[in-house]
Amino acid sequence: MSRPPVYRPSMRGWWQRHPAYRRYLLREGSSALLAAYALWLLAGLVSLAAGEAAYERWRELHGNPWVFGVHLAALLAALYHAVTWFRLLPLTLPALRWGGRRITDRTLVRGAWLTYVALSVGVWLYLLGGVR
Amino acid sequence: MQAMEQVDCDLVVVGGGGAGLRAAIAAAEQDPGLRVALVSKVVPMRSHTVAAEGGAAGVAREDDSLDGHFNDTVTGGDWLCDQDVVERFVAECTAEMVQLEQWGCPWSRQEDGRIHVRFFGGMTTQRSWYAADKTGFHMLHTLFQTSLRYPGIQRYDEYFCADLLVDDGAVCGVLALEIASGEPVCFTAPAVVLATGGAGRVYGQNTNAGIVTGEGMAMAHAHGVALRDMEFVQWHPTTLPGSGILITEGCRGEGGVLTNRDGRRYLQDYGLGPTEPWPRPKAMELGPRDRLSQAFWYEDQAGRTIATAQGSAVQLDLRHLGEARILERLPMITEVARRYAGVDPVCTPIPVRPAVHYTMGGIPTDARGAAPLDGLFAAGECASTGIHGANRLGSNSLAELLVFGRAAGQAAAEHARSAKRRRQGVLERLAGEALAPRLELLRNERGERLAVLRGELHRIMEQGVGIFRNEQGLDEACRALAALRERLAGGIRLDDRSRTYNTEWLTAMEFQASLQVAETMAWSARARRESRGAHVRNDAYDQRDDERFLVHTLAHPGDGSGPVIEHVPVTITRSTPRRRAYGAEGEGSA
Amino acid sequence: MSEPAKITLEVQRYHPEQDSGPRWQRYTVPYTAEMSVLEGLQYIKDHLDGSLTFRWSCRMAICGSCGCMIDGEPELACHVFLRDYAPGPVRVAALDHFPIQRDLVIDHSDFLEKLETVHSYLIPAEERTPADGTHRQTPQAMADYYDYAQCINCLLCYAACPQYGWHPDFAGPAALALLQRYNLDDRDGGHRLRERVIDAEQGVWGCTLVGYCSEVCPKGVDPARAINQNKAGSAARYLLGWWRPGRRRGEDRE
Repeated sequence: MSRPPVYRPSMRGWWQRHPAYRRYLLREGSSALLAAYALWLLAGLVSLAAGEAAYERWRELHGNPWVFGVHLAALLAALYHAVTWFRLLPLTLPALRWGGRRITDRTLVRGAWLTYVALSVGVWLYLLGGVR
Repeated sequence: MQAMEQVDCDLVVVGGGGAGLRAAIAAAEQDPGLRVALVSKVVPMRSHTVAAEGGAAGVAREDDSLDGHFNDTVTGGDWLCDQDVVERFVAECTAEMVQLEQWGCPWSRQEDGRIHVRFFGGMTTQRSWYAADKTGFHMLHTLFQTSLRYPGIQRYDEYFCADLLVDDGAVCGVLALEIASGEPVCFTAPAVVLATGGAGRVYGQNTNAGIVTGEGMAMAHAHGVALRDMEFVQWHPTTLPGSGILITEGCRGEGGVLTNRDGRRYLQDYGLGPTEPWPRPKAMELGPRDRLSQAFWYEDQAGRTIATAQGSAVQLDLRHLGEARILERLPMITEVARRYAGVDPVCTPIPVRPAVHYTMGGIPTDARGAAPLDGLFAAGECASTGIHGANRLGSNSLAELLVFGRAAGQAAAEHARSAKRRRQGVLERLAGEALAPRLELLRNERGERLAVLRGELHRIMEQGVGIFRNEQGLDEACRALAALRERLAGGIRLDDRSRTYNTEWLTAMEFQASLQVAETMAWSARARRESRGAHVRNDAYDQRDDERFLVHTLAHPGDGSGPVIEHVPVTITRSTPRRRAYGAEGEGSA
Repeated sequence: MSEPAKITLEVQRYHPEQDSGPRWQRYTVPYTAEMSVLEGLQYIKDHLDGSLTFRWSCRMAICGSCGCMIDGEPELACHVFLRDYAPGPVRVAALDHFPIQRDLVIDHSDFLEKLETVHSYLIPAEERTPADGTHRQTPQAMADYYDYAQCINCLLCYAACPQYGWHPDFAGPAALALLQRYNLDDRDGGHRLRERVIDAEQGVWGCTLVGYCSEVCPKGVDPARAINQNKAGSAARYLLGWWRPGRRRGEDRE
């Protein structure tokens, strides 16, 4: 049966259509800064392997206000990404139960944050102990 | 003119609601080689079964019995039921509910995992299987999704069935229009199951979806099938004023109460009391729908209703059930009341009033779903199997579409194997003849707007063929409907003359069907000079008259001046008519 | 009595026999507080322009017919009210990401085919007949899938899914939610069959968790969750497939 032609809409300018799409882009975009920071750390490792002078040069670059700015941006991006990541975490898990009751998303997110904070503190304590 | 597209199959099921899907599945299960075409003007899950809320009847409890279901149904129907069919019906309901469970329907459960049943109006005990307050929705989606497993079922979604093709006294196919293109398609088959639903939209105030316009009934009627018991139209007592959106009987099954302006549970004044103990089967708010809607009418006349912006109403009070139970058992009602009535049933009563809900009558069938036209079968609301009599009990219709959907599907499959096929030339001629007047509608230059004609139909039916009827009003309605038919013959002026997805054109065809069905309702009502079940008169005929009217009404197509009415006997096997009593009086007589 | 309040609707029109692409048409409609946007469209069809084309049926948000974009948001037209858009103009357009047949009518045949390919029906864990009676299923077991069983197939989630806009092959939110509905049903034994749908590129990996689908769902189905619950298992199967290639091939022969 021959049907009349349909109109196929395009996706041009799709991200302008809804704030939810822009939030999504921001979330995904924030990982680019994280990747940049990872590259920066990698460069540090490479310079460490190259010798003390190279490593010192890499360290001195941190005094540059531009580099500082990028670090600050990466920190904010990391925080934002972490917030969104933890918020979406429950969506990736099966329905979990505790004593017959379903664990709410809120509890899961809080639990994840607590674990994260505990691990971070642990690492800090270990590092501080190592320095001493 | 190019040749019309033709689809050859063994069985055509018209309508993709609960009954149509159940029929198609039954036919495909019985004979996997059968080519079943499921033709529906909407995608199956849009069908009106989806809006059924409360429950589906089937004996499930130890303390219940088939006799109990039989007696409640026959009493509820004011003894106008064909009792042989009711016997078969009640015997098959439970197996159908179980079958649906095995197909995945999420029936509400007890803590131990067994299914749960709830109270419904006019039923002696808890007998209604339910899925929260979305029973029809879950049943329909379960049936639709199950139907995907059967390769023999070929779906034709959004094909508008315009007419039956009948040759030499036997059905041989249907003419449909592919809505997307407006192109005609001739489906050929020696068996057709009509599962097209009711005709509630002939009234202005109704609980029905926009698609419930009665084409199936009209199609059969146009080919000589007399429609049966069309005067029996059910008003659901609890719907939202204005929109007519349904507030399920399940609310009262869970213990909800109805109060008037003074906060009084007024049903005690209409032979349904006393109020305590509550809840109690077949009493007060768990009385049958006809009685409750009639009681509202009296309260309204006496000025004891409350005024809302969309008309008068009484109050459906659920507050005493508590938030937890309301949210668990009646989640959709809560959402609907909040959004469409602006009240939260947890803390405020819902304003409700009666609206047209169901057509008890329809295409007469036997217990196998066979109609009095060779090759034609019918199931669901468009059929009159004889189980509802003069008033349907809530939750019997969802059970009906399963039991008789399956029966009709099986019987039609059997018929399809044995029947002979028509010659090609005959089919082409029939389809062409059926198409011509439909195309004519598109070319019409003169006439009135569809909305004007439809408004007039609603006015006539609400005024003359309402909850209460009388001789003068019915005379007036019959005359006005004939006049409306004249106006319709004068033409409908469509804004839209194109073929592509022309819903205005479809609506015009639906309206023609609605008017035809409305006339059978008005004429049948006028000929029934008594009061029984949902047909109540406030003139000299305000009592039941078993001497003269313990009979079915048949509305035959007439010669142009209106339907011709005939009365035929009701089948009574073991329950002889007695006074139909509810409340304390009913308990005494049961 | 005072004049009724009026609101302007800007409705997207497209007629394949006349238009090369969509255009906008304005209508002014009198409205009352309880009128839904759908009733506004019906007023236009009845009194102003009978050629305006849209789907509708139940007008109580359960049949899923009347989905459209209202001021850029996917909504059921019967489920939102003109009063909330007054004084307008309110823009009503066909659902995003779908081919348009005419005006507000989209072509949903792609979704209907997907419902079949994801096996959205119960595949019994054990054969039973009605004579065997109902399964036992506790309310807790039912709660596992119940929310996903509330899908009315209105397709608002597809209109909220840019991935579906780019890749119409993607099974999409509603179809995958229904897949998960049956996978989580303890009466069902079809999860092995559905694994192939899940693991395919058009399966759960077509989703990048934009998450807007769950926001627009009028029935609280949360398709984003249904999809992403499957990613860990799917990834594990992928890795196991590398680890034990024989197993994977063996499965494919089934």
